[in-house]
Amino acid sequence: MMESEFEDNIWTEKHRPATFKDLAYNQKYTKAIKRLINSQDFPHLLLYGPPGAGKRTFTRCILNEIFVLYSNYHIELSPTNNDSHDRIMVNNMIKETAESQPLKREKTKGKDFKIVVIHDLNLLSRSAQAGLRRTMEKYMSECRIIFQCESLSRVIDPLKSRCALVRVPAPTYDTVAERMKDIAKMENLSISTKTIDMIARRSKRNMRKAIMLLQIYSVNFTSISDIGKALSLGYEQIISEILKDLISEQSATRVKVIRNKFYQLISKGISTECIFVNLIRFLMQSDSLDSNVRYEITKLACEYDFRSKLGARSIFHLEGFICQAMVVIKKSKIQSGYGV
Amino acid sequence: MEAFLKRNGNKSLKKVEKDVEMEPDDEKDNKSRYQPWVEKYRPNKIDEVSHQPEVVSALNKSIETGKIPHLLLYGPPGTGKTSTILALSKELFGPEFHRSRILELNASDDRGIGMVREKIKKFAQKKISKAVSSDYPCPPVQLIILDEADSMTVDAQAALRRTIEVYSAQTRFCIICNYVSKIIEPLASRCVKFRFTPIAEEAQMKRLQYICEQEEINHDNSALEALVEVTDGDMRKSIMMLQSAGRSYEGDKLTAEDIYEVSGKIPIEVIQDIWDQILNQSDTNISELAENVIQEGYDIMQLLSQLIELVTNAATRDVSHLKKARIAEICAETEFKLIKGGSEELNVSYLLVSISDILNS
Repeated sequence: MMESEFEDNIWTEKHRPATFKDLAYNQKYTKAIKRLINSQDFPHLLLYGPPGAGKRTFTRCILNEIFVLYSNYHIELSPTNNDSHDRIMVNNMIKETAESQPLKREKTKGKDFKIVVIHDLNLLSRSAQAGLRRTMEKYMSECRIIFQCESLSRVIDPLKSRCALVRVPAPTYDTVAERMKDIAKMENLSISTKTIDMIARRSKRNMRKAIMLLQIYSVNFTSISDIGKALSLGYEQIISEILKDLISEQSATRVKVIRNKFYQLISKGISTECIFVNLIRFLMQSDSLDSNVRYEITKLACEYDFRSKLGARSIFHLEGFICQAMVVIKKSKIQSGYGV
Repeated sequence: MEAFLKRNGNKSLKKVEKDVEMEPDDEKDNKSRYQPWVEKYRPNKIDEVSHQPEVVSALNKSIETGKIPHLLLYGPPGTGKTSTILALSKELFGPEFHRSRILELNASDDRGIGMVREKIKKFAQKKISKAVSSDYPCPPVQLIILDEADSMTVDAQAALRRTIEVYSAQTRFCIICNYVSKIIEPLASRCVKFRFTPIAEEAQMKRLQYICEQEEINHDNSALEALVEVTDGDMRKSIMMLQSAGRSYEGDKLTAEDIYEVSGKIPIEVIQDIWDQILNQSDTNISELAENVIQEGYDIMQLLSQLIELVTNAATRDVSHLKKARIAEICAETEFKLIKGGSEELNVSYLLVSISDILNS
């Protein structure tokens, strides 16, 4: 009970569709999936798509279609919080779920199997994924698995060939705006079309982020007059400041200023990848640099992000990146100076 | 915590053993209603195995004579390695002894060196009765199947060397793997090697046709052709796709489009569009392009391989070979970074930016 009250306060949970009927978008996929899971012998599913596209919602709808929400016949796992033991955990869970007999059968709508939902498959270690291969086949008739992941690139091929792949693309701007209008109406929030449009653009087709921003707006809009500020997330602001610092001056003192900002971000728990991705996003939007320079910096960001994944301390890589980027900018400035 | 999980790990081993025993054949009818097609249409007899003539004839001989060597089966996924050995064991021992004579171990079980010492030895030491009355050949041997052996550690493989020889009087090993290079040489030299080739088009078509008839799926011939095309001889993948497309298609016929829809392949128009946009490079486009690729949720590995395909085919004839080679290099680098954990969004930007750099230089 407590939990549901808490969930009601967060709009992304409160307004999450629970059945295929309420699902706002991806109608084409919805129909296909519905037909698929209504057959008794549907295969394992692997849903993939960017964040905020509706993978989790999709899964909920599937479960609701097969059983009821919160049934005894399915179990959800996020293997990432068990790092090196994930192989044992995942396998045991599937085996045990498959072997245990359901107590009551009336809620299964005639289906005689159980479902294991595994989130973030791409974060599962390789040995864990390899361990799933035969387990998946062996227990297929008792137990179906629904995988979810953001990117398929770290999922091994044998797993892909054992699942039906379902791509969940991000909703279009119009769908995001439409959905926000509906929610605003339900929450009795008066909001202009222009603001909705702005939120939709800002959220980059990420439905979850859009609804979150809408809620932030609903809290903030009376006190802060500047809409842009009312809608920005803290870390994004810092990152855009870093970019401005980087472009305006290239010197050792500036590196020091930027270092402080990086520490701010790190202490807030913002991942290195997120910093790099957002830096590049802002960089691509800004017009103050030549396109060649921007490309150079993109390549650098990719390289340093990769290094930070292999290394242990991210501040070195962030700073290395900033210094290199400064060199690139300075060089182009000198060159263009000669040109004049 | 660790101890707890370890204990569970051991428990799971015992369970696996039980599971192998708990798969009785006569319950099949009841089960098959819920069984996905890949399991339902697994061959029950060696003869039913598609398109591996050498393997089939060699193993048929061994069933007749009752003499089987140690086996090493290798080949790409979905070519019938596991199916073959399961069919062999069924034909050899029959439903009655099928359970007691076989130990099946795969990557989901713990297979370190301790495993080889305890579990495999214990099973190998078991006494078996020589004469049994059965309709099947049932030779006085037992079979240990090591599935997905390429994920075994080198130490564990080394520990197997002597074990194989010592118990060879009544125990046969069957090692199954994708890459024979991952099996240490001394182990490989103790086995008869069989290479499984990707299933040929006709054989695959025939099997898919059969499944379609059994499941009463109204299909277009182009659909099956598309299936064969996108799976590159991976039988399991094609049956899996046939099922997911066959259960979800709209209209009254299964068509090639339905297949492409479930295959995860990126539509060719999208790839062409990306290529054209890079060629007529207009500034901010590339970042938008990268963003779009991510938001549409395409598989980046798929994007890479399809890009390479585009670069190597005739449609891009006017691009010089040197440029093409450099694009291929960039693709390879991106693939490596992605597998090692690089960010997808950054890598796609990098990829597209680099390609445009190369093309427009």
